[in-house]
Amino acid sequence: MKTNARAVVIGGGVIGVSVAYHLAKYGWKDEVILLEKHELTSGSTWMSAGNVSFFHPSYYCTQINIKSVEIFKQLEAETGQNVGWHTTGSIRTADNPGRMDELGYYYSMNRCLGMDVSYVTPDEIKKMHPFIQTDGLLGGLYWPDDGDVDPNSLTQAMAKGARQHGAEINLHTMVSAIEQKKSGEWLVKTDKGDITCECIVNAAGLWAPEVSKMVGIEIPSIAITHTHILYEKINAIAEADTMLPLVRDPDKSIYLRQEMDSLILGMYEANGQQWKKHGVPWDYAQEEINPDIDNISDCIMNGIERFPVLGDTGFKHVTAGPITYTPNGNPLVGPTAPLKNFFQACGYSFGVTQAGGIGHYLAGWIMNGEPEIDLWDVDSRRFGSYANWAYNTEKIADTYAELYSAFYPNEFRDAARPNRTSPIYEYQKKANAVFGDYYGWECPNYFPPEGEDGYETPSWRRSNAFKHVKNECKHAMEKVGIIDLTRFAKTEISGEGAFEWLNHMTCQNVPQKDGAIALAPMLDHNGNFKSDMTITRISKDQFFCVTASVGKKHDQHWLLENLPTDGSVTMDDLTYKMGCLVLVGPDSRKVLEKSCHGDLSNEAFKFSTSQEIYVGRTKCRINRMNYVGELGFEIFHPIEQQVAVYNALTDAGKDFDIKFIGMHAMNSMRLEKGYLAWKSEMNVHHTPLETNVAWSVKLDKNDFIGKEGLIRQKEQGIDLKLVCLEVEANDSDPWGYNPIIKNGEKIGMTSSGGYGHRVEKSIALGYIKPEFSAAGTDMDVEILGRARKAKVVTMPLYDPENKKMKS
Amino acid sequence: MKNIGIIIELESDSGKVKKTCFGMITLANQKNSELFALVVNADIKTLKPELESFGITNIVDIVLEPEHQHNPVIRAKAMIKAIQKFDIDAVFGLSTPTGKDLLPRMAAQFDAPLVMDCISVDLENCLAKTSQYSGKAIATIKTQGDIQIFGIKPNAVEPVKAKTSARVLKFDKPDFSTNQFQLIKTGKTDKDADIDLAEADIIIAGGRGMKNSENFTALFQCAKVLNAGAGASRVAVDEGWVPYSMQVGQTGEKVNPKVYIACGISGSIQHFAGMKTSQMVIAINSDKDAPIMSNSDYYVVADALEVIPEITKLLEKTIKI
Repeated sequence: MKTNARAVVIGGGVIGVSVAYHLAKYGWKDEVILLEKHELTSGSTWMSAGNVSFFHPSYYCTQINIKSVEIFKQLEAETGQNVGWHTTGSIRTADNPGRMDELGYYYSMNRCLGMDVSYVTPDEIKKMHPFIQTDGLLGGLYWPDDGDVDPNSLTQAMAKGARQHGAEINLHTMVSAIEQKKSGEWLVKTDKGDITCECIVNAAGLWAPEVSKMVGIEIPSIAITHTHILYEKINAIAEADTMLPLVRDPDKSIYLRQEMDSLILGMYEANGQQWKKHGVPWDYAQEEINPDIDNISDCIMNGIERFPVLGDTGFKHVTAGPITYTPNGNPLVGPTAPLKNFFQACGYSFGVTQAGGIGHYLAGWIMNGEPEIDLWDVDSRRFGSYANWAYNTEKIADTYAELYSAFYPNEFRDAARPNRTSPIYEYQKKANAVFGDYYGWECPNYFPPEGEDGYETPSWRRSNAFKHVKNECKHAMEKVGIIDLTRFAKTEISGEGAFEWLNHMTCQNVPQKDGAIALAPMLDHNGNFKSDMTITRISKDQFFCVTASVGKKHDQHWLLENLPTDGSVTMDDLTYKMGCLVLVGPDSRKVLEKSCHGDLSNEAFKFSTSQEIYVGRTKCRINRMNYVGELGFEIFHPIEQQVAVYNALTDAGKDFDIKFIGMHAMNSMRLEKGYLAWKSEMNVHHTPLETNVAWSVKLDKNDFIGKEGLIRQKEQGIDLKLVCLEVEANDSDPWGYNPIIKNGEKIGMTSSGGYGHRVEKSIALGYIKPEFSAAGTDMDVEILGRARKAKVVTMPLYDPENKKMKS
Repeated sequence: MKNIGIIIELESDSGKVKKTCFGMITLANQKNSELFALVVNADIKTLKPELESFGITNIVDIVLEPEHQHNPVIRAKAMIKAIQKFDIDAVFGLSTPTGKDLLPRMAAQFDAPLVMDCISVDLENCLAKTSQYSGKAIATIKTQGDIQIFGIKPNAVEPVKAKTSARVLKFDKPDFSTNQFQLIKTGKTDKDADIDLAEADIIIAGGRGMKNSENFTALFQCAKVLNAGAGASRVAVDEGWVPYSMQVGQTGEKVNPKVYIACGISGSIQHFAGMKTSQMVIAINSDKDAPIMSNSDYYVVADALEVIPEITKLLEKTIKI
């Protein structure tokens, strides 16, 4: 075994082997080592049913799947080893209108990617799959190019490819410890000797949490028992010339595919069983778990109901084995905060489907420093410290059981909540808040009157919250409201080098005057959006930076990775030390004046500046800035004083009918103002030059991260431009990932959307080809499979001159 | 003294006693036990000496109408009658497709404990051991009841000769009928090899290294000379080189031979799941790093396609001598 490498991949399942294969193939050759404690596939790859679909609820994960299929199909030509690929096509059924809407979302999203997908009627489904009983089905979607693969052959083929490209694969080699050297290199200790390497990929699957613990990191991944049943030979299948398509009936929580001359029925049972709560034993390898037939009997009966032939066919083999699960069912991939050069590639529940694609994309990410596509949906940093072991246990049981539940954009499930709450949580509850959870934070979505709509009906159409959200928006427009944004990620950057360093981190000029605020996006090396940041200058060497709450770990990791090592800059996380209540609306100054000491006039406290002001008895940092486009103040305060601040504001606000405003209203209002949202408009595919914040790019200043990319883009011109569209929708508003079509051609895609209650219009933001971006240009936006008329409007729709903000 | 009933299965073509039955007889031949072989429509004259050589002292000669011979309901009824008539305390059958059909029917009728896939049975203490989790664990099960029924895993026990003499007990042809089952027709299956994999002493199996369907002809010839069952890996059946029924592995047959010869099979853990209880594994593979090599008793680093015909030739010579 070698003692030095650039990359050590830990884990010889289909994911680890794919990452090693791609790293070797793309140029790291013999500097790649894979360590497997047993045999390849012995963790959970061996028990995979081998289904490979294009389908995934996430736009970016769908691209990973597409890449997988492409790779699987060319592996044989490259390595000489076939992977047992069969193209069978697949069908996803719906037996209720909500499910049909969900399929409509996938249909439109898939069309953004140019995929071959079509609606099928129950009769057409029956023709494709003679064994199905279509009673109760409304229809489905059909992907003709889906198929299945032999997980073992696939892993072996990629292992062969990895070896051909120079990688060293060591079986029966157990990692016992991982240490970081002073140089930053990693030392991987194994029972066969030590390896020094530049970076580590944790692809240890069932044992990934244990491997992470070796470097002091807790990751949210646990093992769940998954069961599938192979039936005895079915003569009609044995005699048929063509293969049956895979059928997923999510409403019955089952999938069924052909295996040889029979069928495999897989299921996501309601009472999913966590396996080995306290960690998977190191010596486990490819052992079938005794199947709990009683626990899956409902699914077996569902299977018979949908496919009566199963009722007449015996079980040949029931396979039960452990697979990994994360709190939302998506894997954990990419850099690990706060470490350097330690990557995750684990938490996979559908590893075979994504293996090819994620190997490709992660290898690129590791080698180039940036991912080729936005991988936030699988980024390990999307879970904060709240996602610990106990949280996972509770949350994952729900995630597994609900895996096949319809996905709705407005649904926030109850499992494992609440976690983080603002100190005024009880006041919000008293005001009938309906909460959502965002990065572990309970945050009110809307506030209905008592006894009304205390639960938001999950839907792809306008929900029962619609009218309450409307009231909140109107209230913010006409009176005054309080938005709780305690969850903001808050970082203080200080030290003698802070100013210069921050200027290197953002494309914007860092404020030169104390008390000034700047919208200062951080970009990646290509000039694409990394983070949405607002910098407030407190003094010449002290800056208060606010970023999106859900991106906390990601953004702070980026700052930390780039932090000078000479001690000239210090980073301090204030997220859990400071709360934030935002006053918005024309009466917000009056409320603040009543509760404050000091001059708050427009002259004394200008828009886009910051001051330290007492609110009641609490010293607060107030930024005259907000995300809804009204006169407003972001009031940051010591978190333990929040109730006092809140009481001071509400006491002062009584005469002005002050009310809470929720997240839904805030999102509606930010769309009207054309304010960008992180990971919707601001992701790794777009630079600020394509958007309405191009003004924040200062190419004339000294070097900053992303500058070269921006200069290149400026020279070459932009391919896409962010626009605001007014859409003729009356029941389902755009949400994002809607194709934008002109004369039958796809010219772009929405990045987000919703209903603007103040302007009373359905709105989408989206990136389109610049030649169509002139105001007034007509086009179509496809929502849930249907084209809706839309036209480009001048951004922003609401208060284009910013009079209200500046009043 | 306990009366032990042993359900003897016959080869469907030759009518001979299936070899795996002798191990079962050895297993049943314990202290204080009187062995009753239960046979259906057999040629008793030829069977008798063989059964005697392993310790059978009573042969219950059950004769059914030919059309009833394979009818599971009637077979079960006949066995039940015989058990009652000869006062049998414990029944041994094989965990084969036939046994898996027959034994549960009998157990249900008697409300008797039934343990399938036994690898050993201690009649005195009513303890049965069964193999679990693809052979990784062994469960010990205690049974209670007037009549106890055990399904024995084929080839679990080596047969040991124990010469006795047996008397043949005629079992009056019972007048059974059923409308539950009716035999429509019987015919040969699609199996190319004649020997049932689940019961084979020797298996020669081919995998990816066989490369195509034609090359399997050599493997079949070798199987014939070896008197072995012919198996295949998932890849070989998935490629359509040989029928699905030949697949050994997690999703195919679970086999238990004395010798397993893996030709051009890399030895995925899915394949091991189907053959890991083999007593001896011989691997032929051109890749010395293939997992099958480190998990075999003997291996040959060579192209299976070249080695197989050589084995056949050598064996043919040996047999001639």
